Order: sequence, then C-alpha cells, then structure tokens
Amino acid sequence: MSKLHEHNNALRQLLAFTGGFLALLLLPYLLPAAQVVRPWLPGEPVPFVHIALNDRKVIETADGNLIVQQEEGADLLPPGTQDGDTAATAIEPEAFDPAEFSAAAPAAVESAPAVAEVEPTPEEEPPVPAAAPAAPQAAPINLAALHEALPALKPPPAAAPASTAAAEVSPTVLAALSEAPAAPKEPEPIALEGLPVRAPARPTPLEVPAGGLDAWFTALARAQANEPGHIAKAAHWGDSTIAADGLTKTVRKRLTARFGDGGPGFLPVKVDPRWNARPGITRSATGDWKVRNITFGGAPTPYYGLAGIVATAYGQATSVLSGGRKGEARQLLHRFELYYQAQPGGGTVYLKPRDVEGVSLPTLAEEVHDAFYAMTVPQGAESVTITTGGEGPVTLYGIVMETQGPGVVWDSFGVAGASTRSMNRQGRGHAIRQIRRRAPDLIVYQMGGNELGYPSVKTGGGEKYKESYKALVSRLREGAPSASCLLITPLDQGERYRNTIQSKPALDNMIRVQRAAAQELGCAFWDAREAMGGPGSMARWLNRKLAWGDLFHLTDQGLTIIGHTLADAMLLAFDQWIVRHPEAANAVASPDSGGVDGQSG
Amino acid sequence: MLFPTLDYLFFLGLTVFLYWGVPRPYRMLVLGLSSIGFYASWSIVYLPVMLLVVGIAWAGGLWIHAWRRYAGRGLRLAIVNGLLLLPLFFFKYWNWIGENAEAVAQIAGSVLDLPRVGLQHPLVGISFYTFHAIAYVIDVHRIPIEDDKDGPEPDLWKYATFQTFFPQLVAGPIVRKNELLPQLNNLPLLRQNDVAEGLWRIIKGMAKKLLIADVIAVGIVDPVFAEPGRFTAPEVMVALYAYTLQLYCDFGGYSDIAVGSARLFGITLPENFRRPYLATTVAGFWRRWHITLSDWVRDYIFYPLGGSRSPGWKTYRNTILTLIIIGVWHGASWNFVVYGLLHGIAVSVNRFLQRRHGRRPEDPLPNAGAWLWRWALTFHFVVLARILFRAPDLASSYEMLISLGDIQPAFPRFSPVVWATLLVGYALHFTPERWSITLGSLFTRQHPFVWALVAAGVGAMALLLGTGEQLAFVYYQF
Repeated sequence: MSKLHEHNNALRQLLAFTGGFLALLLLPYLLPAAQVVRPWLPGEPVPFVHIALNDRKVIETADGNLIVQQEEGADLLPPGTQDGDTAATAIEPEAFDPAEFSAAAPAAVESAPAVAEVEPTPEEEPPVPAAAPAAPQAAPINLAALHEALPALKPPPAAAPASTAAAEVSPTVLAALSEAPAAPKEPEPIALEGLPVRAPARPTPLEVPAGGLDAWFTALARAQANEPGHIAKAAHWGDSTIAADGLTKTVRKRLTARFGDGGPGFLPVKVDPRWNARPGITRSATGDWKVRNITFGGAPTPYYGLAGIVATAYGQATSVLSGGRKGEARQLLHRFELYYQAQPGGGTVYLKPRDVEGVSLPTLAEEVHDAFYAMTVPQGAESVTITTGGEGPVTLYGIVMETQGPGVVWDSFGVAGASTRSMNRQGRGHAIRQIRRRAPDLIVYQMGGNELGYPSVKTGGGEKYKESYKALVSRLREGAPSASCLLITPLDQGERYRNTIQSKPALDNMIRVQRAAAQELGCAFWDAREAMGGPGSMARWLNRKLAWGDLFHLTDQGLTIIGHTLADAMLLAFDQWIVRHPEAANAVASPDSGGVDGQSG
Repeated sequence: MLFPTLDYLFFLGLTVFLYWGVPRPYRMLVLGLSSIGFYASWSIVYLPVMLLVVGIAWAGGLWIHAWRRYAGRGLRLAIVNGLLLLPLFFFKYWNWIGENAEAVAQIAGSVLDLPRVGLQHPLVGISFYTFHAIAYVIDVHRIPIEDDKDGPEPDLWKYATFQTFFPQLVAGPIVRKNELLPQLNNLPLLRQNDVAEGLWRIIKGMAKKLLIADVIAVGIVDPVFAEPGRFTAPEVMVALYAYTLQLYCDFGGYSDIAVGSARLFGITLPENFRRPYLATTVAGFWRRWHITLSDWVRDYIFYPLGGSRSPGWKTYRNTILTLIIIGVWHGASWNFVVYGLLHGIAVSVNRFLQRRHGRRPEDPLPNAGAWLWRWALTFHFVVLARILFRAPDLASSYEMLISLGDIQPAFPRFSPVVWATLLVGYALHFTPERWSITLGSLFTRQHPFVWALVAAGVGAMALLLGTGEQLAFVYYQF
C-alpha cells in the first residue's frame, strides 16, 4: 500500500468517525428522554463561540437570544469575610454604625449574576417563587438615637458573687412587658435595610410572629443590662450544618461579644469527630468510651441526651474539658452541671473542676432514669475532669460549663446525618426532661437537609412531613414552654446537571412547608437558603470555594458568613424589638434563686 | 480552552480537517495559527509573553549557531537562557522571592518593601514553554562545530509552530528539537493506525480526566484538603491515595489527549507516563512519572553538573539539586522545595544502595516478596510526599501530616460512587500493561462507527456520572 493510499484510507476513517460521532451527538436531540446527554442545551455557554470573548460566556436564552455574561471572579469575597475571627471583629461595630445601616444595599445583591440558574424552557414549569418574607418593611428606625441610647442601658458591671441562674423569664421583666403597649397583631416588622451585605450571602431578616421572640430578647436584654448571674441560653439543634459548629460558632461569637460570654454551655463529654465537633474548646478523652448518637443509634435505651450524643465508659475512663482561651489562660468557668444516667449496675463518676475538691457520684439505680448534678465554683476553674471508676458502666449525656455571667450561651446540638426521623430515636419523656433541665430561652431547630428525599417533600404536598416536623418542634418546646422558638431552613443544596449546578427542586417545597409550620406554631423563621442567595446559590458559593464539592455542605468560611448573616438578622431584630420595649431593657430582675448545687434526678 | 470540553473537540475537529484540506504548503500556517489561537483562548493578554519567549529562543538559536566558531559560546548560551528565564522568573517566582527577601530583611532588623506582580489569572503553561525553549537553545548550542548539516531552524514561523504546537503547548510533553522539528519539516501523511490510535488515546485521556480524576477530586480530595481538621485520619489517608490517583489520571489523561491529538496530524509526541505507581524505587518512579521533564533535567542539569560519574558525595549533591529544581519547577513555594529535597534524598538513598549491592535499576527482583515491600515503601513515600504537592503551604502540610496520627477506627465517609471510582482507578493502573495494549488494538480494529460509539459513550457517562464541571488540569498551573 502506498503512503498516499494509506493516508487517504486514514482520512476516510476520520471522516467516518466524525460523521458517526456528530450523528450520535445529534441523536439525543431527537429523543426527549435523552435530554440529559445532549451535548449542549439552551442556557449553557455556546460552545466555541464564547471563547472569543475572554472571561465572558455567551449564553443562548430559551427565547433564542444570545446574551453575554461576565464570568464570576473568585475575588468577590470581601476581605472581612475571609476569616471568622477577623470578620467578627471587623463586623461588630457595623451593627451600630448608622451610616452603614443606611448604606447597605440589598438591591446590589439581588442583581448578582446567577450562573447556576437556568432559564426555564417553555415546556418547564416556572419555578415556585420563594414566599416573600412575612414581615412587611418597617419604617426607618432612628438608629442614631438607638446607638446613643443603648450604652446608657447598661448599668455598671456588678461584682456579684458567682451564682447560678435559672432560665425562666424574670417576673420583673414579664411584669414590665405586660404593662407595655399591646404587642402588635401583625408579624413584627424587621427592616431589611438595616442588614449589612456580606457577599455572596444576601441580607435576610428573621420572620417573627407577634411576640415570637419575646422570651429570648428579654433574656438578651437582661444580659445586656448586666443582670448579675444571668445567662441567656439558646439551644440549637441541627444536622451536619450545625455539627461542625461553624454557623453556631459565629453566632455565639457575635452575641457573646455584645452581651457577654456565658461559657461553652452544654457539651457531650466525648464525641466522635466525624459526627460532631466543637472547635475552640478542649475535650480530651481517654479510656474505654463508647459514643452513640441519634443518627446511628445503638444505645441500649432511647436516651441520647440533650445533644443527641451519649457516651458510656465501660471501664476506667477520663474526659477533660475546658473552655476557650482568653489570652494565655483558659476561660474561667463557674458553674458545672453533669447530665448523666442512673442505671442498674452503674459505676461511679468523679467530677472535679481544676483546683477544686471533686465529688463522687454513684450512678447505680434500680431502673434507668436521668440524673443531674450541679456545682458552683465561686473562684472559677479553667477545666473540669470527669473520671469513671470502672466498677460498672457510666453513661453521660454531657456537662454544662458556664461562666458567672452575665452573658449568652449558644448550645450547638448538631449531629451529622440527623433528621426528624433520627430525632425521634430519642425517648419523648427523656428529651423533655433534658430540655426542661437546661431551660433554654430560645429553641432553634434547623433540620431538613437530610429529609429532601422524603416522599412527602419530594413528590407530595408536604403535609405528612409538616405534621412530623411540627410534632418534633412541639416536643422540644414542651421541655421549655416559655422559651422562644426559631425555625431555620436547610441551606441550599445543589445537584449537578450537566455543566450546571442547580438547587434540589424539593427544597422549594421543604422551605414552604417549614415556613407554614413556623407560622402555625408561632415560631420565628429564618430562610437560610434565601440568606445564601436563594435558588442556585450553592453554585455561586462553590465557585468562591465556600462550599464543598458534595454540593451539600459549606466550608468553615462559608458557614462563618452564614453565621454572620444570621447574627446580623438576630441583632437587628433585637435592636428593633428593644426600641419597642424599652421597659425590658430597664427592668433588671433580681438574681434568680434556681439552680441550687447538688444532685437531682 | 480545556481539553475535555466541546470547545476543544470542535476546535480540534476544525483544525484537523482544515489542516488536511488545505494544500501542503499551507499546512504549517494552519498549525501555527491554530496553536496561537489555542493559547490566546486562555488569555489573549499573556499571548505576547509566550511570543516573546518564542522570539528570543529562535533568534538566540540563530545567534549561538552563527557564532559557534568564536570564543564566548558559554556566555552567549547563558545570555539567551537568562533572557528566556526572565519572564518565568518575573511572572512565577518574583513574588515568592520578594516575600522571602522581605522576611529575611525583617529578621535582620531592616524594612524591605518590594513591588509585587499582580496577575489576574495564572500564566498558563509558562514553565512548559520556557523549558521547551531552553531545551531547543541548548540543543543548538550542543551541535558540533564542524557539523554543517544540523542547525537551528531558520524559518521563524516553523520554529513558532514547533514551540507552540497546541497539543503540547500548555502542559507538555516537553518536546525536544530532534523529536518534533524533523516531523514539522516533513509534515508526514497519516499512517495506517494514526487515526485509530489517536482517537483511542483521546478517548482514554478524556475518560481518565472526566470519569476518574474529576470525580475523586470533587468527592474526596478537595473537601479533605480544604479542611483536613474535619476529617479522621483514615479519611485523610484515603484523600492522599485519592489525590495520588487524581494527579496521575489528570496529568496522564492530559498527556493522552495531547499525544492522541498530535497523531491526528500524523505527528508523534513522546510518552510522558509509564504506570508510575508500579515503581519499586523512587528513582524508578521518576523514570515513569513525567518522563519528558525527568529527561529534561537529566540532560540539561544533572549531566552538566557531573551526573552520576562525579566522585563520592558529589553524585548525591547533583541528585538532590536536580530533584529540588524539579520541585521548584512546579511552583514558587517552600512546599515544592521540601518536596524536591525529599525526593532527592530518596533517590540518593536508592543510588547508594544500588551501588553498595552492585545492582542496576533494571535488574529483575528475586521474588514477589522483594517486589512487594519495595513497591509498598516507594508508593507510600510518593503518597505522603504528595501532601507537600497539594497543600498550599508548609503549615497546612504539617497540619495534614499531624492529622494522620489521630487514628480513629472508623470507616471513611465518602459516597459509594466515589469509592468505586477510586478503586476502579487504581485497579486499572495496576492491571498488566499488556491488557491496555490489547484493549487499544481491539479498538483500532473496529469500524470507525464503533469508535464514535465509544467516544459518545464516554461523553454520555461524563455527563451522567462526572462532576459536570470544567475542572482545569492540575498541571496547567505549572
């Protein structure tokens, strides 16, 4: 065969391949079912053509128009959001800067490019619009006056002795509230323009029904008023979004920076870092611990403790816990309370704050029940050591570690993989007892990320899901009936579809259902997906390396931004609330009498 | 323009048919223009930098050759190479050097404030085309003075095409003068299996990149390296194995597409990989991994330093220095310095032991056990050293290394698809090479429509199973 003949044969092969390949590329356009493997769809960058325009994409819209889109840069993240600590420090003054308040421009965020959003094709259903926030826009508040007024509300710091504080709303404050002007009948107005913009997040106000956060804001007002020993307590349940403490850590930092640090709060004594983590505190466990959580179950009784994590020591074991660093030293903790299980054959647990005489607690009982032991350390201790004797199993739900106050504690009860279904693994009475003991002022429930596959949400109207969701929230509230309640939606979740990342369609339904549940339960509501930027936002966060490739989780930096966005909304709502309830800020309750040291259960 | 995209497929098809459709005298024009257009598609702003390097190498080669009979040959070579290295130094290393200089000044108690180079995007492929150009200039310099037949390329356009030939432009293989220029001089016709084998390599490369590298990058590597503290030690270890495979499938996939694309023009490019993770010594690893870079540093750095014939410790010095240069070639960071240093030490240990036992690298091992422990040791050295390759700085590398020590007896949390991809990827890597050859020849014997079916199948799988993202090849940044 001559070289030319060989060459021509090869060219013929190339032509045949090209023809066949092009035919196969066109084939999916003839088969509607094969849409997913069509090489290109309207809405995607026009192949080859878009290259002619550097850094821009040529996109054909559904109506056949070609539009040029600037590609998103990775440098859009403002410097203040690069690091949680830096952001917290830099952002705090903003909340009180009237100029910033008026300069915030949500409209700019609204117009941010939405790369992941695909234009609906004519045959597609238009996306269900996200329900507008229930709260109407409030009239502008005189924030300058508020700014001036707030410091005056703070009395001089009291050098009060350490004292435990119950979470019940102070009668003085309640009385003051009852004399206050009638609460508005409509949902409480929250001014959107008071919220700073933290790209790529979108300022998103809390949706608060009338009086929906009164208990919580009252507790915050008491802390702000430096009421001796008062600690405002929030308990935040959730799934993996909360499990790593990224979001809650930021909210905690923001609130403690303003209202005082109440300490780490409730902590399981031993965790498996795959399912729960709490950066910033030290929790060093040795010995034969077995940790079980509500996601995977496995505990011999349906008792998983307040955090949904229960640790059992089967021999001699130790766990040393301490709070965050304050300069060179550790934070001084003044109140410890062990949540444990009394059980047949139970061994002894030894609780010893550092430099303080410890106490031995037998956990032996004829039948399984919850038990608690509280102790106050007036001089403070940097850490607490929990040791088990080894003569029998010792089951511990966790330990409360608090400062002498006043301040805020934001408990983080996230377990990776958690859902309404797994939350039901908890015994009802047990869960209520645990919450009652902790007595939070605010119950935060942020679930749903692992529930998008539930048939009721995915394909149904969501009624069945709503009922189970409401039942779960109601159970949590049963433990703290006077506490406020805040329901938070899951963050945006994406799914890959060809070259785009789209929001999971079930999220619209989920958010609609959760919002309705919040209204029916009288809980406040916060749309976390809206805070991310609404549908399709996961793609934008991923582009900025603020989300993981699983399109489900945000990175620590991403969670920090969302945490700031929630804190912004919370603080703004509080500032607006306190303007309407000045008596709450002035009414400093007498130190609570609850929380006596000793064993109970 | 990334290789595994419709953009590239259109571009390649268009260029191939245009190339074979125009009369022979115009084919070089088609190749040259398409190559420049290919590079401009990344960023037209940086095109002049590449063209400057092309111009310096071409003119420098002519100058060196024209003056070859006169004294000062070494100086002329140094001048040309210095000019060639200037853009690389300026765009890639200046900021790093500046930072370190400022840090040293601060330690010494003085203040140094050096300007920085701000780039909107990384300068794609600058290390590759700079090394390509340097190799050409040195090859011209090495032409014997009395050899009047060989010489530099006098035609600027042909030289530019040689340097910018798009399949190898941004990530190699690094091509030598005698490997590509003769082919461009002849512009060979297509041979019997050029099309079939070229397409096979392109399809294989696409599959490696889209179905293995990208999937495990998104599913394992990126999340773990982003926040290693959130993962258990077994998960971090799996991420290291995954990254090791990702890097091979990413770069190996790119090289496959490059070699395959060139074959459609009748041009053969050198191979860059030979199942690198089967190596039983670190020295052997570098004979299988990024072969054209290893050969480059051997011929243009290691040998000129004295190579392995240097007396005593100097061989080891040369080895370590060469590997550090390979490390720094990858990026301006202390990570890469340490990476190169570690590999240099490991290769020196290999060399020392081989000298001591009188064994040559190619000698067969006595039994499977001897192979197994050597392989396991080498493989895990490579895997662990990858921490330095992937982590952004030494502190992050240290954090990752420390997190490996926190052993938790728990099964790593990755999705079944990602696990399957990882296992299949390694299984394919460790299958006998003859299986791959058999599969390739089976493909080439089929009708072109079957080739099209296979290609479309890989594309469809990429859309269904792949990440759906256009992730850049890791080596483009170098």
